Amino acid sequence: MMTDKQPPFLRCSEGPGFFHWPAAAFLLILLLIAGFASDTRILGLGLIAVLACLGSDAAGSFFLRQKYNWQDGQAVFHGLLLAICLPVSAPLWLPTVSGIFAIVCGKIIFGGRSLTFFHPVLLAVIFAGSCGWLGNEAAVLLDSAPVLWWAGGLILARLGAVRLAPALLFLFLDAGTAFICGKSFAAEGMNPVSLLTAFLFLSEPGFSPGAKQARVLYAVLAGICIGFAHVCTSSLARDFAVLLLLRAMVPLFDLLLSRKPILTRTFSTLSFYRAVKSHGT
Amino acid sequence: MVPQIERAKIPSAVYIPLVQAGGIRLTPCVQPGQTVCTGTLVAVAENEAGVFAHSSVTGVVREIAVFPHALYGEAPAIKIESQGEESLDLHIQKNSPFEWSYQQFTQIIRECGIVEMNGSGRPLHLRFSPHYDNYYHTLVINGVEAEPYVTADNALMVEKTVEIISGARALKQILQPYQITLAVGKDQMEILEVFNSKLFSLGEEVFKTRAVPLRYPQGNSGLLIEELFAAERAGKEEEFDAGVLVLDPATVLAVWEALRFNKPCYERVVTLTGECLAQPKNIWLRVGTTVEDALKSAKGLLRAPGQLILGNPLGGAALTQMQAPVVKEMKAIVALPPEHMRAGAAGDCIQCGRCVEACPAQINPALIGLAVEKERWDIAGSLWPEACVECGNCSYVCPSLRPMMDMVVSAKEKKWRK
Repeated sequence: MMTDKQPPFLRCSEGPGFFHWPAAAFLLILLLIAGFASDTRILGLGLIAVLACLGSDAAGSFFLRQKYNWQDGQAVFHGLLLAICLPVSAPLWLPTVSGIFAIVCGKIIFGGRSLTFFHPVLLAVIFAGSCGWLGNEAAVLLDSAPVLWWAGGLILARLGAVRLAPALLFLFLDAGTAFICGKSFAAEGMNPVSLLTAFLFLSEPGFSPGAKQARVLYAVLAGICIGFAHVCTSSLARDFAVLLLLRAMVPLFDLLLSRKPILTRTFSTLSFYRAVKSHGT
Repeated sequence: MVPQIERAKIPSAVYIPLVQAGGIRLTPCVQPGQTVCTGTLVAVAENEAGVFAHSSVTGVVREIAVFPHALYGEAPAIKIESQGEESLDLHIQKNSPFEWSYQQFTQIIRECGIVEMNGSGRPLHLRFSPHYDNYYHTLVINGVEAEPYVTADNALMVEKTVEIISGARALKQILQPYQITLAVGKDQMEILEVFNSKLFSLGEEVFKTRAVPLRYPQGNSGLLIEELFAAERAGKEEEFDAGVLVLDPATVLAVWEALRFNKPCYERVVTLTGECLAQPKNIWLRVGTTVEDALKSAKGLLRAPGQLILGNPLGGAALTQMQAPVVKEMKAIVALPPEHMRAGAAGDCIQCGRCVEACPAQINPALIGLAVEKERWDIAGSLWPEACVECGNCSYVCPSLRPMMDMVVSAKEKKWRK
């Protein structure tokens, strides 16, 4: 006789947008400050990037016959993050094409809904860089005030959106590596790329469900790699390429850190990813 | 302070279910119209795995039919209408203590209908092999009540300290374990003090009392064994764990009453609680009392609850019918307000990893859930769902409202069936 047991609906109050909406609000504040302080064109770039991400996400869901869920805030967050990583003088087609590329390539092709092996924005920024629009001019991100990033990061951590432990570990290793190589510890701790990585990339859900230990390993490796990268000539595209590769390796870290037999785990996880790659409603 | 236990009024009618945990069926041995006393045998198990069922009131058997059931939706049950006066069955009388053989003990606990009263409802005699082989080296009385809202065991431990110690002594006499440990949570030190003082006055030196960190789900037997015997079990975990018998205080008390008084298990302490109840309390309820009658004992509901949960609020069962009867394994009835609920359609997994962090069994509920959704039972089975302790943490923390625990449990059941 099978039970007819109904599960209790006692749940914590956080919804699926627990990270993306507060992070998007923070990025919007950054964009507004940058827009009114320097050039209002930044706001236009942001709006176009958000619309491109939302539109391509909606179109992708439509063609894949999945329920479109904009309420998780992921597309809005990615649009705003993309805008902040682009230069002020970028042509208007760049956020459009990059936004579409981010969602189509990062979210739809290389992943399922909310299961992204490559971070969509990192992919899009590298795409923009390959179009020659990165590195020539400073992105909005690089001009933003580190104090704002620290304040925003700590507020997000207080709200429960950001995990402070991997963020601080990353920043310590990043600045420590740069210090060992002869750069200033404090200056590296105030680098907007490092702060963005610490507070937003490391805490964003979506790259591996079993990522507690893997996330820490990701933070350690990313800290060391970004620290080394910043000792050399600064290049946003190269920093993001390093992060993209490390992030794609998180499922592998998950395998390596498993307490179960590695071969069994590898095969079951690989077959799992093949099976659920396009999971969704 | 631990709340005290009240005694509920005898209900006008009780429904004794003819199905036990695990789907074990019972055959009624009474007829409609027959008069029964409190404690009279009314149904016997169809096979050796089941325990007997007894009337929990003095009255007349009215009907044997299908009635609502908390876990099965509907199940056959015996409806007994109370006559108001209480008279105990003649079999319930004082026995000479400490004179039972192992075989007598297993027979008594089966015939008295004793199950594990911590929520599983598994017949207790199934924990013992048919032939005595000194299987259990350690007996643990699990007084760690880490579930939110629930205080039934704590209240019982304060009110029935001597009886619980006597039950443990009887079990010690029969099972001959090398050690007996009473575990309570660290914020329940008053209970530990009560036990220590009673043990001192009784001159008991075999008992050890331990306080463990009170973090949910520390009351789970596997996790409790890990916490209590970390050093002893190092390197031989499976072998050691198999020799530890973990019983909750309510079961120990029921065992004592069965051995000492031949008293069948026809009542239990239930926590009636939740923000929607007018007067939350711990109360002795007769088995078979409807949830509606039980709630009246707590002066009813102040407002409509978002959900009524039977047992542990995180891992229990949501009640759909107020006419469902209280069963032996039901430790609490929690009336939670709508603001604590987040009902809605389950969304996609956003790979946040919160379930993995919250899982005390260190499995990956997210991956198992995704595999179960795809009906890839082979993959789900390879991710160790059998380690799940069914605490419900994963479901609670999931921001996408995915029924994580249910998916893991279904993977576990599928693997066991294979």
